[in-house]
Order: sequence, then C-alpha cells, then structure tokens
Amino acid sequence: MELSLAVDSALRRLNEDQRAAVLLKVYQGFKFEEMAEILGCPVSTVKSRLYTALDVLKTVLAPAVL
Amino acid sequence: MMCTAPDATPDWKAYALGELDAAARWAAEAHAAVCAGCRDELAALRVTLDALSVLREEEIPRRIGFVSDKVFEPHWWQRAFRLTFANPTFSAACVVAAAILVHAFVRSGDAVVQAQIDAAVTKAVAQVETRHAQERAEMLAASELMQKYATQMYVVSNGIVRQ
Repeated sequence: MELSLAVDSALRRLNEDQRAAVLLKVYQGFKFEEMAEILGCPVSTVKSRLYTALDVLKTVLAPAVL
Repeated sequence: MMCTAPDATPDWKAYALGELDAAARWAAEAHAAVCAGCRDELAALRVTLDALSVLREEEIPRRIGFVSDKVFEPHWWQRAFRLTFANPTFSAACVVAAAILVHAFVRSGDAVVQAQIDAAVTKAVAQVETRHAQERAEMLAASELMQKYATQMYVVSNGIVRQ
C-alpha cells in the first residue's frame, strides 16, 4: 500500500505527456512506434518523454540504488 | 558510479523496457558484465519499473490521465459497439428482428409446400369430377337405351304399331 502511494506520488511529478508515455509503455506494453502513432508525435519525442519520466521516477522510487 | 565507457554506454532504458533486439541486448549485457556503473543504472531502472508494476494489478488511476487525452479516447468502433450491441435494448431488438426474419423464411417455405398441396388437390378434384361426369354420361346413355328397349318391347307385346 505504501509502495502504491509512493508510485502514485512519483507519477504526479510527471507532466501529462510524460504520464501518458509511462502509461502506454509500462502499463499497456506498447512499442515506441505504436506509442508514436497513438500520441501523434515522432518516435524520438516519445522516447524523450519516456526517458525523462523514467529519470524522474527513478530518483523517487529507487534513490537507494543510485 | 559512472559508466567506465560513456561513449559505448548501452541504451539501458530501452533495454529495461524491452525495446532492444537480441544483438543489442547481448551487447548491453556483455557491457554490464564489466561495468559496475551500468549495473547500478540497470538495477535502478529495474527497481523503478518493479515499483511501477505494483499498480499494474490495480486499475490505472484515472486522475493521472484526462478523458480528453487521446490515450483514453475510444475508437469509433468502440463507441459504435457501446451504442449498439453493448446496449441491452438494441441487443433485444436484434434478437426479435432475427426471430421475425427466421420465422418469415420458414413461413415462406411453408407457403411453397402449401401451394404444391393446393395444386395437387385441385388436380385430383378435377380428375374426380371428370370421372364422375363420364360415369353420369355413361349411366344416362345406358338408361336411355334401356328405356328405348322397354318401349319397343311394350309396343311389340301389345301389338301397337306406330302410325
């Protein structure tokens, strides 16, 4: 439960585009190309949003590892 | 800890997200085997993704997305399905319509059979009526012939001679 709250809190730190990218990739399992088609933007943009989101989430959810 | 070969650092995020092909994956793993910094990076990514997966079993919180997001926008066929077959009233109407069509089809088959029966009955009745008419004609002819013979016998027996 605490982990769920931590994840929820971490996801709140993302902007809408980054959250959408995380949802599509992590929870829906779409490929980069599919995400680009769904979101209507280039693959490079999708990767940029997702990688930035992962950096943010990583600092919150895996601080001990870093 | 930093990567020992920053120029050759694999794309660990793509690796962790399952976006690398087999060759790139093998190269990344070979690099991680000799680079403590990359192992730490990969471990942090795995911890992060594992933590995110706790929500996988739960419903994805709607508050982190908006109905207006294209992600949540249903396809045209999903909307059509919700308005039609997912609607109990529409489904019931479809079932009733199908039943009516099937009934009409079956009835049309009955009509063909009934027409054949009617034609056969009409033909049989016509044959019987023709036979009866023929028998009546034969009986009438026989009756007239008997009457004629009876008249001749009466005339002969009574000595009546027609003038």
